[in-house]
Amino acid sequence: MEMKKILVADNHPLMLKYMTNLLEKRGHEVLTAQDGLSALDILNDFIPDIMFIDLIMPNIDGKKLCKIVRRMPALKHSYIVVLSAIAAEELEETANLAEIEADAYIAKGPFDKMGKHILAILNRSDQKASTGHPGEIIGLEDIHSRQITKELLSARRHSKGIMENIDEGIMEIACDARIVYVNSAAVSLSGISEEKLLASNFVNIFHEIQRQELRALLESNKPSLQVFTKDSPALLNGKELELRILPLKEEGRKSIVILKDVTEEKKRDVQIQRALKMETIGTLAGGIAHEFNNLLTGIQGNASLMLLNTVSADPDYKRLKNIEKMVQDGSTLTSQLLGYAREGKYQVRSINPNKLVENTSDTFGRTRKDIAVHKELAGDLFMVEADQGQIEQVLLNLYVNAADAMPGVGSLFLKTTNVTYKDIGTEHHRPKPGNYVKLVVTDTGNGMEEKTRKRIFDPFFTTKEIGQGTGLGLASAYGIIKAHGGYIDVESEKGKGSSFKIYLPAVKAVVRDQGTVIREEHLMGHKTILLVDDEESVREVSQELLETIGYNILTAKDGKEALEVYKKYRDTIDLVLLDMVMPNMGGSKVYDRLKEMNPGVKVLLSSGYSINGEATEIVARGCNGFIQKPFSFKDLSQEIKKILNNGQ
Amino acid sequence: MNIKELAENIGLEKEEYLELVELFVETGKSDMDKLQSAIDEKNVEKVATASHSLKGASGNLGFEEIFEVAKKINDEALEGSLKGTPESAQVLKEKLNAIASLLLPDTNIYIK
Ligand SMILES: Nc1ncnc2c1ncn2[C@@H]1O[C@H](COP(=O)(O)OP(=O)(O)OP(=O)(O)O)[C@@H](O)[C@H]1O
Ligand SMILES: [Mg+2]
Repeated sequence: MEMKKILVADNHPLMLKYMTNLLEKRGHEVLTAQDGLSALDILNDFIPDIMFIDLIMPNIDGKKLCKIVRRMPALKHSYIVVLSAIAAEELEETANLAEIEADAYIAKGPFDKMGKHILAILNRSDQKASTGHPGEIIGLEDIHSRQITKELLSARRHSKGIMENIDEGIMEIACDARIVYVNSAAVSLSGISEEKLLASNFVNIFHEIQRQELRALLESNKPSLQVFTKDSPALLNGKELELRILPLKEEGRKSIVILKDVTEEKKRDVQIQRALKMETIGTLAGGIAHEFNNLLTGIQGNASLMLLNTVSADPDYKRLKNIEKMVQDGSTLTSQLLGYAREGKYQVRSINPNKLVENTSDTFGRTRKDIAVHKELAGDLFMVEADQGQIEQVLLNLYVNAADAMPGVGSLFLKTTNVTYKDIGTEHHRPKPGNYVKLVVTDTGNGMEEKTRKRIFDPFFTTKEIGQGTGLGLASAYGIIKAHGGYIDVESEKGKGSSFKIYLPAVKAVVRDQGTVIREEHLMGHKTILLVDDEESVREVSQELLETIGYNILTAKDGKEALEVYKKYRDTIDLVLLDMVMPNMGGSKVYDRLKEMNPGVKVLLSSGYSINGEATEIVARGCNGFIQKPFSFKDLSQEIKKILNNGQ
Repeated sequence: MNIKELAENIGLEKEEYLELVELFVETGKSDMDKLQSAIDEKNVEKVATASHSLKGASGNLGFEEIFEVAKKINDEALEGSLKGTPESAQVLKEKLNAIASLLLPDTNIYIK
């Protein structure tokens, strides 16, 4: 028999010693390794003819070692013999036979019997070319009587089952940072096969920029380190991972690494952050709009009063008209802010969204003839409960944006369909169950980059030149849709157009009366009104306005005064014009007190905020109406007249 | 039975046999240490590892009694139990010491 190169890998020194004696005595060259990892080290520059591999070893067990070795081209012709008591036990069960990639198996047992089998194998390995297929089991008949119970095997499979089924990736790392164990989650997280992972350097599987840090971390060997957290995750295979490194006290300087995929979780966090930001800015925007509306009311009122005394031939007439026009523009701006602040839900009624699309696209089509509008409207569309004016505003904002993105020529596609909440994209965390109407506005414009797309719903975000865009269009659209319990979403790619999708919750169809139309003229009255507002300018100008058209006016500067005045003149007061937001005693409380004094009291609420939860609630409690500041002369007189005429 | 016969029983020369027995007792001693601390910590897995090592080595050298006791500990541990383990460990220790004093009278590798 010619001299052979032999590698023996077994964790027991006794076995190594015996094998060395046995084989060297017969002139073979023998190298030994106490674990899988050192066996692989030896195999770097030693090509054995035969390998004897123990199944149970630390740092990469025999089964995995076989698997790795089988995939090393240099070792193609090496003959692999598995050497294990466990091998025999498991092989009796035959379940794992096919999984172990060896040429032959020798069951461990008394040395005399084992020795004979080993020498027999040595001869045989000459003739039999290495196939990589499981070979035969030798020596089973000689093994100590062994009652392997099913439970024994199942106990081991139990803990293996846990490791293989948890979501976290688990890796065991030897002191030189090489990987010696991976569970299947670790394989799928890294996207690298088990054979490749085992024995490779743990640090090197991560992104280059993080290797230095990881190396230092492993070397420091402090207990339970969690340096790569959700906020500064490790990057692997395009995923963001949280890493926890647990050094094992007992086994030299080995560590266990737990890898947790936080990619999805981080996405969710960003969504929550975003929602919070919108909320905060919304509150701020609402506050500013409120103050602003009070100012506009003053300006509007003064201008209206002056116009009453000015003939149209007067040179100031045009200027005053201009002031009124600019106040209107200012008020559009604040209403967008209020829309964003999600306080804009006012006149809610059931409407068919197709009608909104028809109305707005007609208006829009007339102004932008260069854009072809294509409509695809569902015939049996659900109704939605919405503020018509606001949703129309949203749609117009979208059209204008689309037009801006298609200078010269382009097409606008408008589509409505019925969907359920399941059809709403994943970008929205858990839409409320139910039916929705989906409105899609698609353009063939120049689209957006990812960076832009992420910010378009932020208030004041605009890519347009200063003076061209306020950046409030989409912010208010977002607020309005949200206030309607809906969702708005965008899909866009640079150069490929954009598609905005709106989802509004559907309601059962109930068509309500649209209300009586009031003639467009100043409506004179001869009644007494109590005017309650903490803003002196608002009080003054409203008083003058209302007096001009024939009302008697009493005023109060806060809630307390209002109650005193009402108590004194309750028989003469026909209506209370009540501001919502006042220091000390707000409109809501004042309303309740008035109601106590006189259940039939007529109250018109006014506020610089548009109708919000509180105002809606007061209206629901029986308050007669709501008017938003800045109110025009006409609006105010109409609203008052409407209330006074009712129930008379 | 003398040493020569014992050695021949498993197909070895006397010198080689003694060399291996010495190695067996040495590793056995460290396995017993591990076993003892594993029992104290109630660490089933460590008990299984240490008893597996003892079982394999005693089987190799034909020490049937030690093999059976080690196997008993190992089987129990694999099932998650340490019920009979302290007693069995005591038996193991005595048998290992007996082998050491019988076969290696010149050494002092005894287990306390
Ligand atoms: N259909 C679209 N195609 C390409 N980009 C768009 C589209 N719609 C919006 N955008 C981008 O989103 C930004 C924000 O839009 P938004 O309507 O909020 O403000 P704006 O149009 O810039 O100003 P405003 O509407 O107040 O006049 C725009 O400046 C533009 O960059
Ligand atoms: Mg816009």
